Amino acid sequence: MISTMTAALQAALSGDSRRPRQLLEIHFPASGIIYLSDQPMGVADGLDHDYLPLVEDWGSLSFSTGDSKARDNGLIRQCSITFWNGGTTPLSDHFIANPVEATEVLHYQWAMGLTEADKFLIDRFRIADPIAFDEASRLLTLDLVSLPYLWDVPVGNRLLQADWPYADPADIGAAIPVALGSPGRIKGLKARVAKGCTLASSVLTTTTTLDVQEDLDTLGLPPSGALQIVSEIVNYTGRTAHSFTGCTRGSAGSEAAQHLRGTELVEHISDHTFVFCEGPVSVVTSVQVKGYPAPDGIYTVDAAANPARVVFSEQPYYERFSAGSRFYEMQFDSTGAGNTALWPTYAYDEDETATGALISYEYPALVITQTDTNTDQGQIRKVYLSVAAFTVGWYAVDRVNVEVSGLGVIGQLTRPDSADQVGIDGEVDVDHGHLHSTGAAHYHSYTGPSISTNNASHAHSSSLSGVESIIPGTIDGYGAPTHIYAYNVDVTKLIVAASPAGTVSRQLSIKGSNQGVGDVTIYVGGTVFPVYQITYAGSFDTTINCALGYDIYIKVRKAGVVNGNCYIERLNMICTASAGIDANVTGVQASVTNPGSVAGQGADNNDDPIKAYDDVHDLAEAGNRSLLINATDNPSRTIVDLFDLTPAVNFDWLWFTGRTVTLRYVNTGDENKDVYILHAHFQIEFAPKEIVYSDDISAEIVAARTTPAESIEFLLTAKAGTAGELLDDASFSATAASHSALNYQLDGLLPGDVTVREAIKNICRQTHSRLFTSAGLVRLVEKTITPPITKALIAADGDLQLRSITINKQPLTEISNRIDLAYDYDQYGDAGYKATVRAENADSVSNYGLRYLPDNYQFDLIRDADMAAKVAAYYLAVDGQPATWYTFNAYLPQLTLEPEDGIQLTANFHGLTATPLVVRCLERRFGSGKNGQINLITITAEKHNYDEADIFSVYAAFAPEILPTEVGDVVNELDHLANIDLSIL
Amino acid sequence: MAAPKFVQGESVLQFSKGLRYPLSKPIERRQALDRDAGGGLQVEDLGVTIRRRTLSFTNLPLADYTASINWYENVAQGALNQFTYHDENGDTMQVLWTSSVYDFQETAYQKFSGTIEIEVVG
Repeated sequence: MISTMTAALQAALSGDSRRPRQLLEIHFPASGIIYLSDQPMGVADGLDHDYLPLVEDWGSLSFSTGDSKARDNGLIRQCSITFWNGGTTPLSDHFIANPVEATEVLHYQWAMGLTEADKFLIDRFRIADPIAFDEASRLLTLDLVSLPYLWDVPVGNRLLQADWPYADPADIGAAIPVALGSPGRIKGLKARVAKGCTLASSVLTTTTTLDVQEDLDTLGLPPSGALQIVSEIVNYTGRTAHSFTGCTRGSAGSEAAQHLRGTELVEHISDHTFVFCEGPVSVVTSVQVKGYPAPDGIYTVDAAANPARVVFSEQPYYERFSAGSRFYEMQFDSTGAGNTALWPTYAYDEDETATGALISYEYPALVITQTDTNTDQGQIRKVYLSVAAFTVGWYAVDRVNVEVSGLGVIGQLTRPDSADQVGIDGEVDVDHGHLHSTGAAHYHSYTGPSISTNNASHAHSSSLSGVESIIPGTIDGYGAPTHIYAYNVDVTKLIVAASPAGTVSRQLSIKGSNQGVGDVTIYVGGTVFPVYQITYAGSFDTTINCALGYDIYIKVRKAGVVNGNCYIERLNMICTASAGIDANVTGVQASVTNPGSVAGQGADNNDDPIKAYDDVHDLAEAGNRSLLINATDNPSRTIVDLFDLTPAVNFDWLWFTGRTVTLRYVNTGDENKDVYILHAHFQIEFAPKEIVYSDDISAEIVAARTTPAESIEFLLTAKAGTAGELLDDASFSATAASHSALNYQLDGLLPGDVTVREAIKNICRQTHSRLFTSAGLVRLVEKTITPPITKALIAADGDLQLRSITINKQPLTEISNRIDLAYDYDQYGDAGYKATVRAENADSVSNYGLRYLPDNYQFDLIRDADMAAKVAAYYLAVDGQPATWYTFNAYLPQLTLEPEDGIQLTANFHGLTATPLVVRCLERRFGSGKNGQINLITITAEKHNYDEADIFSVYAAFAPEILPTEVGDVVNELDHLANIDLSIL
Repeated sequence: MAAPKFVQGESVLQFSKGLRYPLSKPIERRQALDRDAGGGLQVEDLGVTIRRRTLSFTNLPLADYTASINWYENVAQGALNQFTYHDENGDTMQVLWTSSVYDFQETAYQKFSGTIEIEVVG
């Protein structure tokens, strides 16, 4: 309802007799204002200016859509006014001197007898092209259009190359959307991106010329600069069309790497820029690269910029988990407190080449700790504690518990079972072609499992013999049985020098017989006798332990008997070399217990062939290692136990840090076995992270502007250039308050390439609002089902023109009694609308059948379910049943009516008694003195809910015979009568 | 009854004969009327009052006929130029020659009869 009309003018227009006048002001930018009407008026009549009587025909003022029943009737009002184009300065001359587009026309309503202050601005207009001038009749017709005519400007700016010279060509010219509220995830436009190309050939780390497949001139890469290949930065000092030259590999702290043909190269820039939308934007969050979270630290967000943007300091990439698995052996780092096992490092230190850590009854606890902090390498899928153990001998009762700190005992090592016991003999293949000092057939005896080693250089373990040679001499009896005469005479002989390095013990084996009377005394020692002294009365066969570090002499004395004999039958030096085996065990273990003997001749003390001390060494040489296990009672294999820790780890790479594993020998059965822990580690199956580069950047946006009223105001003023004072503050404020009470808020994007007018129409549609111009102002009102009644029009009182009522029933094809309102539109992906809310009018469905127009209710600016439900309820009330439109003519007293006003219509002839209606369209047919026509206002008003009683009354009066007896039949009949002008009845 | 006279500046057309009766001096008050649904009249005064005179002559002599043609073509130039009309009572008023066609018929030898439509504009 217009409130700006003066009371004097309202009074002047309200009587049955009145003197209305239309006035026109044409505001030319250069020529100034020209005042026009259809008859002379001016200062003498109370106006401030004289008006030239050049208007021939005022025409009519209508809405551009031409469909007066359209609920979202167009914003633009238009009329055509015809002028007399004569005189010394025809009106058309002004359009030569003045730009038509900038010329404003103000159309006033006035009445004779009033003052300038009583002029009522009907509306503001612009002149639409083209201007037609009829020379024959000297008439000029101007098409006037209201302010919304100027709103055909795009909502958003475009990504221009002038502003973004390094934008992706695919995005140059793209329209930048305007964000409202929280539109969710939206895609960024590539405003500054690195140009890319691909290697034409594989390159090494030292390659300084990189050939590429693309034409670099076409791509427009600079003559020098930096490139990024995977994680390597390459500086180049020159380029040709297809290669970069003068390359410095591994620049900027990166590492030079080999790259395969086809690898992508991209410019190395630090301002990869992606713009999202106009705002103002308050928050840009959850930045993603191709749907994956962007790594922290490589981008910055500038929400305050317009448009809001995200700038990456390096080529955007994302990390994702590979579909395939990788396996990682996480080694323990140190021996933990409480360890009692032998050689614990052998269980985890890969540099240690020994067999393994040893736990046993005496050394029960192997405690090893993982101390390093392991970096997150991907998504953990499975975690095992892996323990490889070998047991010397099988056991049935004792056990080895496996303990993990924080978890306690998680299991036991698997014991060898009968299947692991090899019950056959074993021998070493000694029929090999190595050299032996004996040169004859011989054998090595072994104990325990056989050994297989890849370390050819090793010493025998304990009881290795033959490390020292007897110095040949002339002592009687050495080497062959002989005798010495030693009555009161010492026979002294140096038989061996001091032991060589590596000798750990030595024994002198001596066998002989004493002949005749008297004892024989044998002294063994150094130069000072005796170290060892042995006296025999008869034969003797003994072994003397000899200390190391001195030469060994032997002195034999026959006491008391002249020329008595003493026969020395055997004299052997048994030396023991260093103990222990320094070997890399690859499978089973064995120890060699072949005692050697002093090199030389004959047999050792076991009657075995005498061999050189390095015989076994030779055996270990290549080609001499074939091994056949023939006999053992020990387990023959290493057992690997896996203990599943996946639930305990719970995908956390930090779980391992500080974690201690204890393998504890529990001697319950007193079996006392040696358990070698060859290797223990965490075995981790994980999905590794992959780095993927992409310019597909998205982010979630929150814009500061959310309400329909402020959004429309922004579009009108900031985008369409409408002066703020032309917006009707009162109606905007009232609508904003109403929307606030409903908790209405817009959450979506206005595409940058739609016009302001289209965008406003969209907003109004989704908030059941309406924007129109009236009295020279832009007004925004909320459309409600039952607006307050502003006027009661009564036909009998002369408020309507005689015989002017036309009644139209809405066709059933236009109704929708089930509404699935789609909302929460996916602005980023292809999901479309992600939610719907249903509203249904069961009565309407029962009466008219299911009427369903789902495409009419797709609202991309709504994301809130509660708002969606309210909007759906509104449209169900409006569209759920067929409406009835009443069109009639009224006179100037109704000039203050506006669209969406509520009125009551009483017209007994049509069965209307204070029927509430909503004004949809107001069309003005201007009267004038020239054509003698009265001013009329054609009002089209809607009655939302189809009311059969209204129609019945019409039928009852004129065609009672077609009245059906069932309501359903009535409706069916009325379907065929849709849009029939009932006023003819 | 004085014979009518047209005056514009120095130009004068003095008819030698008076107007033929009956004299018509219609006045039109331009208003729009409409019938409302209540049966009453809706009236809008459109602000225009139109005053016309129809000057009828019979048997004008050749000199008057020739002079009136000259006036129509060269002085008034149809409805282009205003001139002063002196009516049968000696009253004067500014008028425009609104006849779209000059059509005096020769009803007898060198005797001419016809009408001139003028509208008061001042």
